[in-house]
Order: sequence, then C-alpha cells, then structure tokens
Amino acid sequence: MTVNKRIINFGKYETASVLVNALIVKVLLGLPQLLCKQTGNAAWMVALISGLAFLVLVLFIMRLYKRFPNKNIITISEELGGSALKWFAAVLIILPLIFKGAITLRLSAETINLITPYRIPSFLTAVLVGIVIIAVAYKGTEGAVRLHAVFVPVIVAALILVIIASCSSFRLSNLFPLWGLGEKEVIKTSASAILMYSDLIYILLLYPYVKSEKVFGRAVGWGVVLAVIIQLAIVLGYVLTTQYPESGELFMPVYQVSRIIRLGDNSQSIEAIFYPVWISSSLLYLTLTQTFVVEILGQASKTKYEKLFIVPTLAAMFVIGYMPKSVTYAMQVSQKASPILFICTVALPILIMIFAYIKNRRMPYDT
Amino acid sequence: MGKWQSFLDFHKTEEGYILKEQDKPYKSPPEQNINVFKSVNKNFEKIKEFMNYPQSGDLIIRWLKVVLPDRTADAFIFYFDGLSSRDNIGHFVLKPLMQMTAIMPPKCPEEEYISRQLITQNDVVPSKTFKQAIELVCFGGCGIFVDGISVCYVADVKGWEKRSLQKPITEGSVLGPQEGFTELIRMNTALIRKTIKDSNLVIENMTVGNKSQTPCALMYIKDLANDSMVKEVKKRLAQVDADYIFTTEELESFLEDSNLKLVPQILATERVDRASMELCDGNVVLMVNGSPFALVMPATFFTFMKTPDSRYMRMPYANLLQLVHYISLIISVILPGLFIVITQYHHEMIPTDLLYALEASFEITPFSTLIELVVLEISFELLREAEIKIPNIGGPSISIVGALILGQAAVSANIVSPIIIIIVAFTAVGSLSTPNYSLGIAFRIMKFVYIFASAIAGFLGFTICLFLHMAMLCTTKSFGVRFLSPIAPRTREGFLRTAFIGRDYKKTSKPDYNNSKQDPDADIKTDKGGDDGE
Amino acid sequence: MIRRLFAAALIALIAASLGGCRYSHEITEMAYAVALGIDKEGDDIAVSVQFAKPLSISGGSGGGESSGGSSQEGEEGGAKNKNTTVLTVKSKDIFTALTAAENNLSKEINLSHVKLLLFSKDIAQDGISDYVKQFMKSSQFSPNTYTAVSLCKAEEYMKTANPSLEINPAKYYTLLFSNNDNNYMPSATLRELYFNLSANGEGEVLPVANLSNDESNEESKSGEDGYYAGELSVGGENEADVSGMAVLSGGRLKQILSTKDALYYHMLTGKLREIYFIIPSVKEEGQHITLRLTQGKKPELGAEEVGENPKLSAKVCLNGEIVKCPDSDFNELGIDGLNELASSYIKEQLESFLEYTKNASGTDVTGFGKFAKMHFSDWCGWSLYNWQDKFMRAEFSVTANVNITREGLVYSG
Repeated sequence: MTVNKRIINFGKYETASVLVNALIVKVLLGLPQLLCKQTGNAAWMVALISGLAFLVLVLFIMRLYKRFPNKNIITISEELGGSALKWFAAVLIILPLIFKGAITLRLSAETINLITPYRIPSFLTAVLVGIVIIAVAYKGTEGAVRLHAVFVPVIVAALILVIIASCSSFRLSNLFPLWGLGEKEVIKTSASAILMYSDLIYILLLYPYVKSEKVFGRAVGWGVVLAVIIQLAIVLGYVLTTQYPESGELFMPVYQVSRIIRLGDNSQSIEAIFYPVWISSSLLYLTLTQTFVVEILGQASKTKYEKLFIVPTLAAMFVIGYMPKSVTYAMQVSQKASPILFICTVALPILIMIFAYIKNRRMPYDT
Repeated sequence: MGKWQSFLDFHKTEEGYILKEQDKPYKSPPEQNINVFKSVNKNFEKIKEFMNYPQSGDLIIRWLKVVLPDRTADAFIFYFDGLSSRDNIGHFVLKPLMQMTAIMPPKCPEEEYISRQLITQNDVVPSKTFKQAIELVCFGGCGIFVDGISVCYVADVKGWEKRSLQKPITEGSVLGPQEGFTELIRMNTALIRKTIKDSNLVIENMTVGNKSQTPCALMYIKDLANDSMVKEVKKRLAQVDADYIFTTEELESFLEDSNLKLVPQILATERVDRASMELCDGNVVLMVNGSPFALVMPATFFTFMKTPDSRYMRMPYANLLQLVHYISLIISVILPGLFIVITQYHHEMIPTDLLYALEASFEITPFSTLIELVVLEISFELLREAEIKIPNIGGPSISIVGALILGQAAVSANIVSPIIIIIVAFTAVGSLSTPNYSLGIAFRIMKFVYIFASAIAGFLGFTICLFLHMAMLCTTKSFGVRFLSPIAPRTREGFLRTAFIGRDYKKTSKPDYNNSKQDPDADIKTDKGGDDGE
Repeated sequence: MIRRLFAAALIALIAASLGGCRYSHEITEMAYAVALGIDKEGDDIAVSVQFAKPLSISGGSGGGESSGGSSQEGEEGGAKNKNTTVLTVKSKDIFTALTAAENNLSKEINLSHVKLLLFSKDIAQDGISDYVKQFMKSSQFSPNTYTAVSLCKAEEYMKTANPSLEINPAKYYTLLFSNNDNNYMPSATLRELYFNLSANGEGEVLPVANLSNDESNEESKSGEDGYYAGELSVGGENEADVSGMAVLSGGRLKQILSTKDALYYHMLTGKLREIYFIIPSVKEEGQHITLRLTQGKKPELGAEEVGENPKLSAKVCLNGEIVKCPDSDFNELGIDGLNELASSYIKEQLESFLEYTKNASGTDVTGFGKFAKMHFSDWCGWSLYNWQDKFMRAEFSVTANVNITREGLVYSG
C-alpha cells in the first residue's frame, strides 16, 4: 500500500461524521415530508429500502476503490485518460457540487428565515453563511472535516433527543394502512430515492486524506450504517407522530416534530434546540462542499494558489442559488435535478473506476 | 507589508519616531570574545572596559598576591556584590589563594594548580575568553585573574537572596503537594530531579537573549519524549532573536505557533508536581531563570482543563470537578450570548411566568438589554483588574465598591435590571472557575464576540460565531499537535478518557496525542479481581 | 496575519452594519397575548385578544392600568381581573384583525405565548378548519396551544374569567385546559385538532367553556346525569366554567355533550383519572354505592369485522375502591357481586354513550377508525371504504371489567 505522505490524516471518526452529516442535511431539508407525500404512511419503508440499497452501492464502490489506494477520483481520471479526462471528470464533479451547494445555500437561508420568529431577510442570512464558508474554506480541507468531528455528535444527539422526547406523541395507528399509498408507489419511490444519494462523492474525495485503507473502509461502513439508521429513525419518528395526509404537507418535518415536545406544563418551546442544529448542519455541509470544489479546481489546474478560487465559486453559488423565484420552485428544481447529479457524482466516477480497474487488472496491488 | 506597515504606523506620534532613532546606540559595544591575556594589568584594563568599572558600583575588584612555586604573582578577583556569596568567596577562594599556597606545595603545572589544588569551591570553570568569564561572573560567579596565566578562573559562588519554596500562587489545590517553583533555575531543576528520580531525565542547559543571556533549562525524559518534538523545541529556541528575555512568559510568545490566536498553545505551570507529571507523559518542559513558571509543550485543550486536584482526588470526586470545570467554561463564554438571543429574538423559549417577571424588571430600566449587559461585563473586567493591582490594604474597599456599584446601587437606581446582574455574576463565577488563567482570559474575550454576534442575528449569529470559534480551535496547533485532540483528531485514548479521569491502575499507556515513545509492556493490565470489568 | 485580521474585522463590520440589531425586539416592546377568541359578527368575525399585564402580575410599579384599545376595552368584566386586558377587533380575517389591533397598542403583539384558542359556538358551527390551518401555518402559534369551544361569546368568557388561585392568567389557562385531574372535560391542542380535521370520519372533541348560570345553552338532549357547561352554579369569584365536551367533525360542531359523556369518553380512550362514581343501590331505593375508580389496564378498542356493518369492540378495565356502600348491598352481593354490578352498569352506560354519539353526531368520537384502518393494506382501499358512512351501521360490543381491589380504611359490612 502506498504510504500516505500527506500531513493531514483523518481517522474513522471524522470520515464517518462527514457522511452522516451529508445525509442529515437531506433529512432535515424535508425528505420525510417528500416521502410521505409520495407514499403516505409507508415512508419509513422507503427510507429503509433506499438506505439498504445505498449501503449495497457503497459496498460496491468500496470494492472498486480498493484498487486505488490513497487516490481520489481526479487522480484516477488523470492516470486513465490524461489531462483531458482529468478535466472532464473535474468539471463534471464541480458543477454538480456547485449546484448542490447553491440550492442548499438558498434553502437553508430561506428555511432559517421561515422557522425563526424574527424575519432576517434570507439574502442577509445567505451573506452571513457565505462569510463563514469563505473563512472555513480558507482553512482548507482539514478545518472543514475536523469541524464535523466536533459538531456532528452534538447534532446527532440533539436529533435523537428530539425523537425520544416526542415519543409520547407516537401513535402506532399512524403506521396503518401499512403500504401507504400502495406497494407500487413504495417500490417506485424507493428506486427514485436512491438517486438522492449523490453525496457519495465525498467518499471518493476524502480517500487520500484518510490514514489507511482499513480505516477508510471501517469509517465508510460505520458512517453509512449510522446515517441510514438516523435517517430511518427520523422518518419513522415523523410518521409515528404525524398522520397522513398532514404528514405530506408539513414544511421542515423535523422542526415540526420538535415543536410538539412538551416537558411539563410550564416549559415553553423546546424547538429552539432545532435552530443551532439546522444552522450548524447546513454550515458544515456548505463549507465542505465549497472546500472540495476549491480543492478539485486546484488539483485539476495544478496550482498552489487554489484559495483564489474560493470567492468566484461562492459567487457562482449565490447566483445559481438565487435564480429560482421561490423556495418551492428551488425544491422542485433540486428534486428534478437529482438524477443528473447522481449520474455525474456517482455513476460517472464508478464508470471511470471500472475502466481504470480493467486497465490495471493485470497489475498487482501497489504495496 | 511595506504599504500596510506605513498605514498601521500612520498614527504614531513624532515622539515615537524620535525615540526609535535614539534607540540605536551611537557606538557599538567592545568585542568581548577575545582571549584572556597573560598580563594581569592588561586583563584588569579590559575588565574595567567591559564591565564599566568603576561606574558599576556593585562590581567588586579585590587585588591579592598568590604565591606560586617559583614566584609570587599579582592577582585580582572580581564579582558582583549581592550576586555572589561573600562567605563562599572568603572561605573557598580568597583563603586558599592567600593562605593555602604557603602550606600546600604544587604538584601540577601552574594553570592547573589554581583550579585543581587551591580553590576548593565545588565548581570552577577555567575560561580562556573574556566573554565566557564575564557571562559566568554576571550569573553569580567570582572571576580570578593571576598574572602570567592566560586563563580566568570563575568559581560558582552564587549567593543572591531568593524566595524560599512557597505554595503555588496561581494554581492552588486542596490535596497533593504544595510546592511551587521559584525564580532560581537550579532550584527548580533540583525540584524536578528529586520528584522524577529517573536517570533518563535530561536537563539541557541553554541560554536565551542575545544580551541578557538568561539561562534556561530544557527538560524531557529521553525514552519517552518524541525526538522530533525535542528537536523542534530546540530549533525554535535557537531561532529566538531578542536581546533581553527575562521570563518564561516572554519566551512563550516566541515559541508558540501563533501569537494572534486567542487560545494559548503552551501550558505555563507553577507546580512542581504538574510539571513532573507532564514530563512523565512524554511532554517537554522548559524553564527560564527568573520566572517561577514552567512551559509545557505540546498542550491541548484538555491539558489546560486538567487541574492538580484531578490527579489526587478519588475518581468520582475528580470527575465531578472536571464536569464542573467544563460547565463553568461553557457558561463563561456562551451564557451572556444565549441570554441576548433569548431575550431579544426568541421570546418563545422563555417560560411564561419568567417572561412576565423579566418584562416587569426590564420595563423600569432605561437602557436596552445589550447595553446593560456590555456595560456590566466591562465593569466587572475593570473590577477584576483593579483587584489584582490594588495593594492588600485596599483590597476590602474594592470588594465593597464593587458590591455597591454593581449590586445594590445600580439596581436601586433602576439603571440595570437584577436579572442582568445575575447573568454577569454567573458568567464571572464560571470564568474564575476555569482551571487555567490564560484559557480563561481567551474565553473572556470570546464572550464579547458572542454577545455582539447574538445581538446582530440571534441564534443564527450565535451559531455562526460558535462555528467560527470551533473552526479556529480545530486548526490551532501546539507544536504540531491539534488543539482539540482527541476530539479532532480522535486518538486511541478517546474523548472520555482524556476529558475525564480514569482509574489509575487501569491507565497503562501514555497519552497518544504527543506520539511519545510507549513502554512496550504497556498493554499488560494489573489484575484487580475483575470487579468493574470494562 | 495582521492583514487577515484587518480583513476579518472589516467583514465583521460590514456584516454587523448590514444586519444591525434591527431585527431584535426587546421584551418590553412586546405585548404578550394569553388567549385568542373568535366570535361571529354578522358576515365578519370579532377577534378578541387577551393580553397579560406583566407589571401587575409581578407586583411591579405601574400595575393595574389598562393599555389602549379599540371597541370594547373590557372595563365591565376587566374590573374583576386587573392582570389582563381584552381587546376586540372586527375584521374578515384573524391576522388583519391583529394588525389593526396593533395600531391601538404601543407594543407589538406577540402570539408565541398564547395558551388558549377559543371558538364561539357560532363559529364552530360554521366550521373552524380554515382558522386551524391558518394557525398551524404560522410559526408564532405553538402546536400545543389549547383549544376550546365557548357557548357564550368568547370575548365575554375572556373578560369574565377571573382566576382566584393564580395571578398569572397564562398559568390559569394552562392548568385548567391541560386536564391533569379533570375527567369532565377533554383536552385538545391545536395540533390534535389539525390532524383530526381530515381524519376520514374520526371526530375531534374539544372542551366547552361557558359562563356560569348562562341560559343560552339549549343543546343536546343527552345526559340523564351530568351537566353542561354553565349549568352548575358553583359560586365564588370566578364565573367562568369549563365542563363537558363539544364534538366536531370536519371542523364543524356537531354536538355538545355533558360531563357524564365526557367521563365515559375518558373511560373508553384510556384518559381516565381518579373518579368517584355513583351506582344506584339495588337493595335500598334512593341509596347509592360510591366507588373510587381508576384506570386499570389501557382500554382495548378494536374493529373485529370491517364490512358493510362493522363490528366494533371495546374492553374497559377499571380498578375500584369502595367509598360508600349500604350494608345491605355489601352483605348481599359481596365484593364479587359489587364487581359484577359495577361492570354491568358501566357497560350499559358506555354502550348507550356510543350509540347516542353515533346517532346524534354521526361521528366516530372515540376513534375506532384507527383500528378499522389496520384491516386495509393501503390508503386507497381505506378511502374507498368510506368509514364515515360505515360507522353509522356499526355494532358495538362493550366489555367492562371493574375490579374492586380495596375497601378503604374501614371495612365495609
């Protein structure tokens, strides 16, 4: 195995935190509500099935990736097809990352504006978030990933607390009828839900920084399993507390669940616990996305002045993020674009790795 | 940097520039690195020139005659009054030189005769150059020049007044030893040596300060400390380019990774036991003559949060105290910010009963919550500084003034609300409970940033500030070790074992964050009957 | 490094000046509403907002003065309750009414501490779905806000309600409507109301508020025992009364039930607290047996058959303690006999309650629909089944099991 000569070394913990947060952001942005709208009570089944499918996909990618220790997808592309393929892969990964970052930036700013009782304009929120992105992206990948290790356990603990505290409102009858809007809908939605896991790209970009292949394997395994469990817990908690058809109508489902928590008669709104959880989760996601965009650009262009890319790429995110006229439209665009994002960030790298694997088939492991 | 430098210097006064000009000496100092002469008179002239005699009134020069085997030579001794022990000079330098020569016949060459047979002081250094001789005399030695011998003998006769061993002032504890370091470096190294009776304990002597030549001691245990860590410390010490360094605090600013980061990156401790424990964990300790603080490196956040008591108390009590320290640190930094968030933006979080009480108390005060809070925080900082500076006699009056101003009078006059007083008091108590003084100050500064961030954007501003604060902490390093080890990065020990106190008999390995050399038999655990199997 | 710090300070300054503190609100700039009532005024609605006076609640200076208001200030009823003031505004919409109300106040209205949403009977009969959805859309209202139907005008109720044991009106409403100890009225939050609006035939029950000795209640013929809200004359400072329950279906008021019905509702839904229950004596006319009943096991509701005539079952288990029992009854029946007597009596009453509510309101009050739903594999089948229609043809089979476990501190007989 190639010795990792980089100074930065991430362990199992940080890598798993990155994966967990990427999924949490999706869940917090409205995945349960979307699933309930499409499948009714059976949203939890879709979460389970798509989670398992995601796990299988990750295992497949990991098997492929083992042949390329300490290399990210850009390096593999360069080795396979030279500079042209490297740039092709870089552009096809950067554009979806910028797009996802843009939509998440817009949605986080708008949702923060909506759920907080004071109405700071969403653009100002986005500007403040943008300042944070610049500051953390300047620190580089290490800063962005190590922050996950600090915040993600707290976020996960807070979410679990929300689910546990709302268990007095669980109604088993909310699970029935068991198949929700029908078996066909469940299967169809499960299949399309897999397309939402385009955050797999982070695995492909983090590999060179991880201590060793063994650590990476464990980290990804643990991260994915934990992420799927949390996703399932949140969706199940939401379905149990909220009956259909209202469950398909509520905005920011986890926030709505946190609003029903009561700790005695004299307690007030505990949902404020949700604000820092959501804000920090989205900040982590956005800073990491921006950091990776800058890093890919730097790697592709082989320049040491990669930090100069921070502001232009962030500006691009702002422009793209504020193109949709409304939040609903932005969410629709995001859903419709998810297959394309999946192809660019998951399918294409898998293809590249398969070709590279075939090319290197006769070569032994690089020990 | 040139343009920015001039921009930043723009507001300096003319006087500053004039003073800066005058700082440059008009004449370079005489070169001292020349060999000692054989002629005692020439040596005397040089000593007068180099050591500003007779302007320096505390330099004593005493002429004498030394009877050598084949001649009687003129000689003189020179030392600083007050720095050297007169008794030692009299008994072990002058008496042998003046009286013993007649009794004891020489058995070796002249040069060796004086150092090996005559002077009975335990440490005598024969110096061939004036520079070396003067340096040693400036540190409490007694220099001896003998006519015809081109060597200056310097006897170590240190005898200045020093503080005796006392309790540590800044790090008190209920249990455990109560010894603190003093200003004398040799005493400090002796205290460490008597605590760690390990022959592998290395104490390297070096000097810092181009002109002050302040002695300092670098300590580490050879078979524990990471070699590259020791090398890095030595490298940084060698790169210190300053004329005068007198204390460890000054040296710390030269050695740490970043001066401008708010958190300290090197631990300064006054306790002998603490420094010894850090050495035994594989860390490096540096001491400077003239300062009772030892610098320990590397240092992480959890190094600063440990207290001496935590090692001496029983595990449950120690862990409870640790928890209290963490809570107090968190309160000291985020409580005022959270208060602003809740009272200015998120009124729905306040229980209704409390809300009415708050509104009733805020209704009658003229200022907004933010202004009241900031003014009271600043007042408390002023009070804290005044308490340190004021002589003991005036101490009680400050307490009375503080209690009156910040307490009764301000509330009775409806200038501030009692709730704000409570918040400020809790914050202050939390800050004072922080185990490490430097870390406490760092978080006191951040507290104001949190207050303003919360005032600007509520929970959004608060969370952004927290995020940036954590980002800064995550990327802070102390000699290559991340400040937040073992949270980020996670190490073998894990968070709980580092943040809290484990059972001593189960602690079989050194901390992992400093990559110290581990005992190969470290995994063998002592068997305690399996009562609390993990 | 200095340059970086300078840049950071500049950015912070820009961010601060962009945002400033203009989105913050001091506590003293807000008027906190405690209760919100909606009445019908012709084609419009009259929104009444009850504000707390923190200074008089906390005993601070300046208490007892009422703030400005538009139409009715509340001087008549407000004279009794010096800690609150009620403002009423007529409008077509709730939030436009609140905006108009702010013109008369020096402070901004804050609705995050509203404890009670009160709908008058007229409004409830017209339908409250729209209002409920409006409240749920707003981030200001907590989903745990209590809701109730008022037989008198909501405005009058709020003005008259005069807590005698609390100073804080918010605490009064919370303790009263949270139903911690009361078996004669249900508890309903905004969230539960919202979910049951479209629950496909399942009804929602709300507590009923009224002024004591109010003669406007001409509702329902049910209840040989029990009383309706406002019928019971308790006396005391507080003339406001909350008793019985209102049954809504699809957001419209269908039926007002008495306290006895509320008790049986609690028995069937497992929310029964400790209750002193009276059973007529079988041996001595005019005498009665008093039992202290508590919930034993959770009641088991079920839908055994779903078809054209669904068969619905309910099994209620109660634990009892003899409080009063004529000697003749005790000697004759013994504990086992008393068990059977109580069980059969309660079974009859429960069956009567179920039949009556089914026929009078056409609503599944107790929530059997949740169990009928389990017989279907998907929502389509359940929707096509049309539970609301099928429920009207349902047959109930109730089993009541009373287990007298104790005789109190003195042996009976």
